[in-house]
Amino acid sequence: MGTVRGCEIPEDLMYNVDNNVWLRREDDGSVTIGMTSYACALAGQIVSYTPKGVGKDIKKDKSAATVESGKWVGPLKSPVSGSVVATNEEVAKEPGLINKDPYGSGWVARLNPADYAADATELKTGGDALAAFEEKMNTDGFGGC
Amino acid sequence: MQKVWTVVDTGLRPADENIAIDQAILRTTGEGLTGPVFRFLHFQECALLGYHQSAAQELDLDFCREQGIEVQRRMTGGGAIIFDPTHLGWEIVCPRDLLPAGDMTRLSEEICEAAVLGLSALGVRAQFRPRNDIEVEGRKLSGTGGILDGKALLFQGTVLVELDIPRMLRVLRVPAEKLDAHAIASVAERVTSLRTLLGKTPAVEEVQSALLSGFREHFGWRMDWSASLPDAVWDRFPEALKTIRSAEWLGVQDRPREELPFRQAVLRTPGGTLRANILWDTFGKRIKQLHFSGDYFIQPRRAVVDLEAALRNAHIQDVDGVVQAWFERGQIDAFGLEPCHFVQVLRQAVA
Repeated sequence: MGTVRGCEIPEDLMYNVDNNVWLRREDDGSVTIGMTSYACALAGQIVSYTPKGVGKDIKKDKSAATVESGKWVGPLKSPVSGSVVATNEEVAKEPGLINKDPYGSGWVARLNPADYAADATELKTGGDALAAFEEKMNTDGFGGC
Repeated sequence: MQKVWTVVDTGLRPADENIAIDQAILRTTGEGLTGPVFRFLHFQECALLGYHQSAAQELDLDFCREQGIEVQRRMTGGGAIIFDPTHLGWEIVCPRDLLPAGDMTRLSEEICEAAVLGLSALGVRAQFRPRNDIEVEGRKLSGTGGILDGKALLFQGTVLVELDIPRMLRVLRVPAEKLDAHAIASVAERVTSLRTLLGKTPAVEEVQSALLSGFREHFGWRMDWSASLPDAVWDRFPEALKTIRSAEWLGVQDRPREELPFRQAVLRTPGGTLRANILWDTFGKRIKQLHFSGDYFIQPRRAVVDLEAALRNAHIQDVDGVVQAWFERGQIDAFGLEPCHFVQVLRQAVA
């Protein structure tokens, strides 16, 4: 498990660092996306989650779901284009799961990507992702998780 | 070079137009087409939902229809409010990096402190109350909420210049047994207006000027009045209005009313009778709203209102921790009431 300023950033996942979103390719070709632990630290306790419905087409960098914390609303921007194949009912019941387990049970949406190979070229992983997050935290003036 | 803020008052409008303007400015800000904007908003009478709220759960929709009260959804978070022409709205829209660094809690506090400074210039003892309220001696004067969309940020607040509590109670679902004088008095202990605080209704221009002075002083911004929003915003306005007027926008969250029932419990304690009225989210097992009442005595007086604010949206499993933290932080004298009594009455109410 990689860590940047105390925030867990698993090195086996893909990231859109600007949008603070992770992505995991599943065996069936679908992708699971969610908020990074850094995004959770910035947001604070999440109290609401409204995903785009199953079957909806989402364009890359457009909202796949919105979350709310401390009266702030924030969209979670999908790192790839695709159609929604699943939303997280457990998170709908308990949005705080996103904070508790952002890379596991707190996943935000599952999509069937339209052109994974093309979209994934813009994502970072491993050491590159850790370095990019370090730089982002520096720019954001973030002290640590 | 420091960016100059455009200050604009977009006049009295129906809610859908105001929300569509929000969406248009946020978009042009995100695309780098417009600079930072400070907008004053005025609404024809309406009920405004927080982004994630369900109209059926939060409002008396029959009453709204009967009375011609428009129902709309904000882009920002928080709870449902009523807005009428006596209230003043304010908002800032800008790139995130124009504001101090830090997490969203810190950011809310920074912005609210600027508004507090402004409102204090009117002669009221305003202060920030976590998470996003501005209050005077425990009574809410202004609620706020925001949206961060990529690098563009919109944060808005209300100022209750006057307040019609009985009408508010008809529109909004509040945790009260019935809408009588007791309910009105109970709300009046928690919400206030400039008119109540100052003994007269201040001129809108005076309130606007005070707010601007607070933001100038707190952030050191240069802010210049303009007769209108930038053209780029108006170019996006028709498309935004179409989105906001669609059924899909209002129906983003359509959970049924039955999932948010009123619940009530009474507990006799050595410190007196403690009653909890709550709006209970049976789906998420959360306390959405609550009022404590009873014949107990507690110091400081505002302690119970602070506890209510801290418990809003709390999961029932987490109430022990929230109550304990409130008791320890607040240096509270409760004369026979213990933290466990508050927890017990809440658990009883939702059982």
